[in-house]
Amino acid sequence: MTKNRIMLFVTILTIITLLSACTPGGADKVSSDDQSANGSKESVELRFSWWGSQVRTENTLKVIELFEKKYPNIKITGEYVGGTDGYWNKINTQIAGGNAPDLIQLGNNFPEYVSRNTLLDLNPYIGKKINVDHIDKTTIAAGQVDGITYGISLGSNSFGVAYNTELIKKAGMEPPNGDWTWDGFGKYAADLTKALGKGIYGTVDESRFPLLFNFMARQSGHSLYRDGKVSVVEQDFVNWLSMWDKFRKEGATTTAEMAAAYTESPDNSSFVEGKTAMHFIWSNQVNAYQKVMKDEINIVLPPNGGQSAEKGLWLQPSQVVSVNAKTKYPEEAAMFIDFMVNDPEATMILGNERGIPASATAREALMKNATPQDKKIYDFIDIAIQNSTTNDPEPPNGNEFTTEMLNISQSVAFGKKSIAEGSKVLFEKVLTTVNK
Amino acid sequence: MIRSIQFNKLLMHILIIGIGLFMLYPILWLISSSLKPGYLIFTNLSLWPNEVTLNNYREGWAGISRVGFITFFKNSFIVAILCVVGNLISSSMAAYAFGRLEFSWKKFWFAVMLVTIMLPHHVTIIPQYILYKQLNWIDTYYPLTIPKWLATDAFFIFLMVQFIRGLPRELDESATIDGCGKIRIYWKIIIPLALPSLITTAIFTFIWTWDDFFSQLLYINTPKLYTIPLGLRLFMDSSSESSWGALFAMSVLALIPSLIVFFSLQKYFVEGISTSGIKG
Amino acid sequence: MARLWKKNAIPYLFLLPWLIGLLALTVGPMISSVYYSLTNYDVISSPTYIGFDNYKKMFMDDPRFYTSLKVTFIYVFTSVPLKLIFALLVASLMNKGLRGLTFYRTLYYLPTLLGGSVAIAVLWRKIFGATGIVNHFLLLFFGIEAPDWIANPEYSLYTIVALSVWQFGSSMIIFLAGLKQIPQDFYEAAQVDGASKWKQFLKITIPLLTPVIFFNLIMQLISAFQAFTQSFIISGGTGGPIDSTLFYTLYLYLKGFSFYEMGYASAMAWVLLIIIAFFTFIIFSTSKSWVHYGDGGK
Repeated sequence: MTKNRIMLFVTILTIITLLSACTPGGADKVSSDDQSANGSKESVELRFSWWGSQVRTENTLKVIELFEKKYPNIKITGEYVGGTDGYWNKINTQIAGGNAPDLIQLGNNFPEYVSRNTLLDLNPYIGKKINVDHIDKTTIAAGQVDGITYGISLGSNSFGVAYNTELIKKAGMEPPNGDWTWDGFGKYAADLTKALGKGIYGTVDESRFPLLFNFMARQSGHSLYRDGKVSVVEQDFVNWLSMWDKFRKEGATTTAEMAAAYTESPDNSSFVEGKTAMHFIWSNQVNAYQKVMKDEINIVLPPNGGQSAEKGLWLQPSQVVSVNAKTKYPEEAAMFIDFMVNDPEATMILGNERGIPASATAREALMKNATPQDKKIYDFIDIAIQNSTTNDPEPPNGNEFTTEMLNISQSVAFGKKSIAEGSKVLFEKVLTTVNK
Repeated sequence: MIRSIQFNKLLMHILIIGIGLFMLYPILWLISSSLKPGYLIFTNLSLWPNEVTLNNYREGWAGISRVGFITFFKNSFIVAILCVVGNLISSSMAAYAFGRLEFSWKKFWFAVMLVTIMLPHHVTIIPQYILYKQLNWIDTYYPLTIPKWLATDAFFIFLMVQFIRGLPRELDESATIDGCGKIRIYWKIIIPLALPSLITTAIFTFIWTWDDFFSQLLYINTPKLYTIPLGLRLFMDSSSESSWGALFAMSVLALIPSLIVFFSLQKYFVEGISTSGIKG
Repeated sequence: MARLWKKNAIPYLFLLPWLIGLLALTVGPMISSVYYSLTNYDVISSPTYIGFDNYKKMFMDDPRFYTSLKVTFIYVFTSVPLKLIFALLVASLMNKGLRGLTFYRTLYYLPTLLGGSVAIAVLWRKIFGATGIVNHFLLLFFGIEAPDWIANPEYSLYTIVALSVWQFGSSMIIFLAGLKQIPQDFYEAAQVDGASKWKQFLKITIPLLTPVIFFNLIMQLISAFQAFTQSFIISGGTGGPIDSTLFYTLYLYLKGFSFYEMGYASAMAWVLLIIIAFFTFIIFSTSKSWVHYGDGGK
């Protein structure tokens, strides 16, 4: 029995030592809490989180280094993640756990966080810590809710129709110039399909995307979400779904099955694989698509609504940077935002990877050194601005509506739901999600 | 007679290789993609790259701003090894209790253990995060490793229970007669005989920890502490410019340790045990 | 009292790490999720108590909940038996004295090793896509123009069943470990008695393997009910086309993390727990009649 006891103690001891031995990374961790406890304002530590692939992360880290060199008392730790799916889970969990970073990169979905009181009111810092002299009003407005600024744009974007120049050459057709109506677009796509032969279609089936639906609705003066209300009507959905149904039947776009087979992001795209010749993409995605394609691509304005229609297009920040409402160092955070959007060196480094920079001076400096590829994007943005009106914020609970839209567009394409039924479901859905 | 046996063996090999090729395909695709320039990865789906480049490996290995991939490998190793050792010790202890010992409330605890596997983990993520935050464990490896030292993966306990219960009881009965205590039986008889289940546990724990993206994403903030799954995702953002080539190149490299662990550990499966060999 | 102490001291000592983990790390979050299931909780703001509304809504007013249940049940009852049979057969093949076995075993484990990586999604499109291998084969030998199996809502679920069967590696390893534990002298004795290989398999291998078969059955059942990753990669996280691969846990995940309804997701989780517990209980209660333990079933 005593022998057993000894064995037992040995076992316990081993476990305890092993447990206490595993302290990787724990020692050199310094949180901002510790700093403030010392009461010294000498050194400040900020956490900044963003998502994005390698290019963005490299650029942003370089800017952080520059900033730290200029303000040696401020240290910024980057917390970066590749794609967005994990990013939202992480940010939301951190907010729930009261442990969110001081600076947070958000998308056009930032109003969701405003309504949950997690973002800092930046108005007191605008014009003082954050210089907005070279940023136009609409860009500032894009980061506001009810006149209060919650985010500063890190780069603006518009969308257009990207086309595969090789496929259009092959079809023996003139490349599109962006001066077309939806009907013209459909006809052009149908002609492409005919000329290109079996298995290749004029355009990607875009009927699943709320963004593009909203674009068409805006041409008739409606919007999914404007001034805190839903202003689309059921007929907007009917128009949208019937138009794509017509395109499908005329062969302008892919079959239901083919549309369902692709998610249409660069890694799973019929456009990338050369099976479709046109695809609606964001202007800052041109590089991303070009990088995975051999054929050259170009981008033109999306279809207009005809003579009497309103301008449907808009420019929106692809990302804004916001400050955690609970940060201990709002001033330093604001200083860093200012640095990101105004410092000549920093804006040069960041380039247009997040979209066209907010500051006009930064934009001019960048355009001087633009590559031909980037020049394409700047030229497109120039035209897009002329055809744009103010953007609308993303409707609350947008993900839920996006999922429903995908579902309904597929149900209609496969003939499982009529256009009337589908439109009714979608209209009800947008009302319930916005008012949830 | 000899001929037909050889023919059977040949047939068996052909069958195994045939299915095996099907199994091998994704790896071949991965390797081939890792050697292609970016614009060919999703446009040209053939296995044979018509343009070969090692750039993806160079670019990937460099990682991001001084946190090279070597750091991610090192970190992943630390986490995975701590998890393997923890799981082996704590799960085998619990499994021995459930599989061989008699005690009050045994059935109750066993049922509780099974129930803990039945709840989809998605709904405990947030309360768990809050708990670890209170323990001040965020941005350390504690949330990833300590649970393994406390046998929270009931899967492995249940696995070992089944193996321990499959062992003939006469073994430890005779050991008891020889004067062995329960702790000695655990160490001298049960652990060696349940070795295949321990190896299985080691393999699975290593590979699952090595691949686990979600909890590493949640609990680790500082890039210097990033592990391989986090490092891999840094190349990929479907909404912007991704470095798919580097992603696939590093995915290939990241597979190697798992393969080595699997290959070297499963060799220990070979020795079938025999009851007569143990008594001595 | 002393007797109770003597009986329990050592067993509980062995149980101690697990008990600490259970009480300190597992039980708390589980109880929290029960509470969340009775609240309206959007993850970011704090939860508000709403009683059983989430449960009511689930059963009375959510057709997608029933869709996800149906998809999951079909998946469980097709993939689990297929995967287990396949894994057992391959494991027994692998257990024979063939040369190069360690190599083959690694080969067969590869698909499982890749888990949920991008490579799998691309591969599956190459196999079951409109111009995939399966369709080439069908056209070549039968002249059939087949659909895109993944993108067609009638068949997409079965391509995921196929994927899960293809990733049979983990079950195979556990079977293999079980086979290794069967004492060799049992076979030697049977060979002396002149029993055929097949008879040995039925009379020795299977009965002695029942504890491991039982384990694999229970665990595969639980993990199939909680299936998430395969559909998440193949459908791009949507459960589509038209909800045809909307697994229960995928729907739960969408609700909790994408639609910000963590309360509802928690309620779904507990309903699933009850379903799983029910099936586990049934299998456990039948186990006495078919699982043979070396300890005599104590």
